[in-house]
Amino acid sequence: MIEVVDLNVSYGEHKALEDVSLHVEAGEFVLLTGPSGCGKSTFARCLAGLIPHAATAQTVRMSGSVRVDGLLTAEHALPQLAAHVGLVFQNPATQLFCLTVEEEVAFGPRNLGLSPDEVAARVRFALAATGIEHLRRRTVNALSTGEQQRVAIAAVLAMRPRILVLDEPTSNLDLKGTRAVLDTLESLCRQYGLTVLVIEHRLHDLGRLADRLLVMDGGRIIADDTPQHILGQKELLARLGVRYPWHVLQDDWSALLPGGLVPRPGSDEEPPLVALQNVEAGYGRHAVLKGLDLALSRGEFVALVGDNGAGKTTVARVLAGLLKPRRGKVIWNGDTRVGLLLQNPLSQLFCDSVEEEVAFGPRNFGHFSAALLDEVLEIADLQELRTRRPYALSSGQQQRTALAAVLSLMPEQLSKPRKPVAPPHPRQRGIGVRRSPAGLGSPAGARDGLLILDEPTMGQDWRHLSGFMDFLSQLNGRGMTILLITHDYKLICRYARRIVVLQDGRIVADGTPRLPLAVPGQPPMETNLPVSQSTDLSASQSAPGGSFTSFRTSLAIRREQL
Amino acid sequence: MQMRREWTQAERQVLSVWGYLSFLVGAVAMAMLAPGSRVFVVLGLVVSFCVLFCTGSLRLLRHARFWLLIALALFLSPFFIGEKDVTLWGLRLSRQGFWAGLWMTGRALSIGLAFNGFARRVSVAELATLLEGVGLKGLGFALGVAFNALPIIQEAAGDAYTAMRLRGGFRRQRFVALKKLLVTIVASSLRRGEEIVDAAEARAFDPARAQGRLARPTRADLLLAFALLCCNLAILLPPY
Amino acid sequence: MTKLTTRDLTTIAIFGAIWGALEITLGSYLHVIFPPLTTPLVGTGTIMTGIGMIIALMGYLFVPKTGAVLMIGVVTAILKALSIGGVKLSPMLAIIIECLLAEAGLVLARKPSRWGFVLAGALAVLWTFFHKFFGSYVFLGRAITEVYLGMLKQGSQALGIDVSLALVIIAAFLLIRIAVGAVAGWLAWELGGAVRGRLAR
Repeated sequence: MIEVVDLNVSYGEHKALEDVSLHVEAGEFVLLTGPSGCGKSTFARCLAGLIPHAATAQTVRMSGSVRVDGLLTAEHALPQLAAHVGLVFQNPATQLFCLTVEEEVAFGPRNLGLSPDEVAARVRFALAATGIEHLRRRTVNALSTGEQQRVAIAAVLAMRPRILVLDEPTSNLDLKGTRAVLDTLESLCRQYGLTVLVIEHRLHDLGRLADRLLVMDGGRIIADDTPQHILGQKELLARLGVRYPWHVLQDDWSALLPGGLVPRPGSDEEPPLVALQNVEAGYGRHAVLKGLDLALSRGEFVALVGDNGAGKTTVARVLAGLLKPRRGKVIWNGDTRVGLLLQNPLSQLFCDSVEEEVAFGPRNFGHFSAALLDEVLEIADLQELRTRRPYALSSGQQQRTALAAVLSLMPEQLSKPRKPVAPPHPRQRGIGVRRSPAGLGSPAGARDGLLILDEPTMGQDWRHLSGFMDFLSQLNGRGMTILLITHDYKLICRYARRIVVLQDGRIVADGTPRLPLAVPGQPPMETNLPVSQSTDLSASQSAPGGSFTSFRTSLAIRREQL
Repeated sequence: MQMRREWTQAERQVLSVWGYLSFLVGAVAMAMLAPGSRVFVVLGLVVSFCVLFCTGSLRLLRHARFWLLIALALFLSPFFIGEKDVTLWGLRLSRQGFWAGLWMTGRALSIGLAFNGFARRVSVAELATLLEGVGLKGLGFALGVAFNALPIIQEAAGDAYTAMRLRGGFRRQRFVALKKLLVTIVASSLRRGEEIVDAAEARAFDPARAQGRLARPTRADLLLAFALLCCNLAILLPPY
Repeated sequence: MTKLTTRDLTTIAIFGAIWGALEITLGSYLHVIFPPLTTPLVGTGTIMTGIGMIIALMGYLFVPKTGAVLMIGVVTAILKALSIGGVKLSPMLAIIIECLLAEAGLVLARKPSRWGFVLAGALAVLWTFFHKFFGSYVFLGRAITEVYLGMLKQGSQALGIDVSLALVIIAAFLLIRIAVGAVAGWLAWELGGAVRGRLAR
């Protein structure tokens, strides 16, 4: 069904694919994974014929052959290929071109010049196959992202391809959306016998469905076997920064945490950094937060989770002072700087170089200094990129730039010494609220810092993700309070010491994940180790300011454990 | 069951987009050409059509701005058009002006209801297809992309504004900050454009080929068009 | 109209969506700040048109083909109607006529240039003065011009000023609009260049 022989693709001087050969039988479900930039998306575009035919591929050089469903992609135009191979992209919003679901699904068949009766028949088939007949008359942009992605799959399916290629179809989706898309894929493969190739980082979701797992690196396929066999090669996965599948996907946040949440211990000795008391807040007439009570202590690393629309971003905006509560109070104890990092880095980059970007905020507030700029660039590992254009960077680098720009407004936090941490109580497994020994803590007069990150991890591979999170842990070790909003449950359980579950504007669960963590087939292990308990501190301790890269190196052993 | 319901609805839809288009063109032409009191005949025909085929169009009568325009015509005309030959409550008014105001009111109502009726009954997709027919090829596609991109762009603009505020962008040089803000919003939006192009081409989209197809004119459409043509000619006939 | 590629249409759609987003969000704020009766001097219409022209002319920089600005305007007009839940003929018509005038300016300039943008912007924003009168003329007929002229004459008499002074005032209103449009065109050229620089890899 898919036959690729000696495929080479170059973007200018950069080789994206090198001597790739592959054979896929009809009806196979193939999973393709690998670190960011290894060539997965380029490969998907080659299979769909976008390389070499698309307008965006005019500067791309390709050699070798790609045959899909008997057609050589280089010799057939895109409209011909579209009836044999369908490609679903990562972001639903960029692949929807019509106002209603029905028109959207009819879009492709109409482009093929089919009769109105045939178009109608294909629309019926595609809607039924993806289980979205009930959405037929709905407006596309009013749907949830999960529903939009299913519409995108239906729209491709309506062209009746025998091969379906999906490029990270769940990376922008929450848990419910992911589950819906995966169920759809399973039924398409089993019931309709489609050949499916999915590019994904989330192996735990798709590993059980796939017949075959391919691993790419540096433009080559370096592993090709059953998922069970490849997933057993943990060293390979760790070297490539590919996430090891951790747990079976579930829909309920509270149920995801192994053993449930441990309620938080009683009130701390010191007052909280900030307390939201019976807060009601929203937009227009609609109240998103309804009587919310939430307190954050100094130095906590809190994950705020919940489905889309639960109110997580509203909490962030209230804490950042961007949204005034209609009722209730926000009580701050002490002078606190609040930094807010939003989801899309491109919306937060205003300047033409990285160093200008980082200097922008301090200049506006009148406390810019070259020393501060250097320190922030060093901490964020952006020194070598300081003169680069932000738009020319990778998404992970853009994210770090945006974060550095926020951190440059919190200079007191960056110059704080690390807080030594008391060892955990023998009976206390895992981490609850960390208590600093008396006499230590922030120097007198220094401001506290609260860093809020709203979905900073979307679409990133595990290597970059874990590096970013290690950096946040380092900041947390310096006393920065972190509030992380994310859908990534593995990330939360590994890094956060407290999880708050939000639903319909109210907190439904708040506590610490219970340890040890049970991983199928693996002995129980400790996670959420405090920063200071990593086995190799020398690299980070020798440089008091620390840096992103040195910190990442010192935690390499800890990463290996998962 | 759902299919049968759709077919019944189609059957009930006596007029297609061509019928409503001919109603719009015919009604506007009549309203503009009708001399004097004949404009109220036109108004009567338009209101009858709206009651029968597009009752929603009558909601225009709820809009305050529309009534402001009517008031402008009705109440100012007696003061400024023609010789002032009547005194009412101490005010010198013109009878000619009063009638002129009435004709203007009739005309405004006719044209407003005709446009509103057309807008209510013709879908955006049909409108885009009509406009593609007069030379704006690819409009339907562009409209769909824009419609689906709108929430994302609004969100990105909101995030950019938030980030700019938090970083003190508006504290000093506001104009520079606004410039940076707009450049960021446009650049981040255009970045998505490449993905959209790829996705469209992967589904065999070709701008040269018209996407949408309009329904063929029904018998009722043709009868209506003929009737409107006759009415227009009758309006222009001199009075008996 | 010149043939447009998929990329051209996508770019047009994005600029149409940006203008539409600004119309929807800013438009309501400006209506609060500038009540309708202030329109003759510098009202909502002038400012929104100026902003719209910045976006549309930036779009022309990326799709330098005849009809691109008009297409952006049509997309914006229909988007606005969709999002406010109903067709408001007057603002839709205004956007389309303004874009047609901008196209005329760009055709006169022959190729994308700063002064071409200035001319296009000026012509487009100038229309905001005439639009209300045009709308009244279409809806109410020729007789409304008698009303306007009568108001002008009697107003001048009541204020004790010459009618020609009123013409001077009208000329001032027109000059303000030309200036706003020219600045919009100038800014479109500057900002378009900045966006290009930002996107360069």
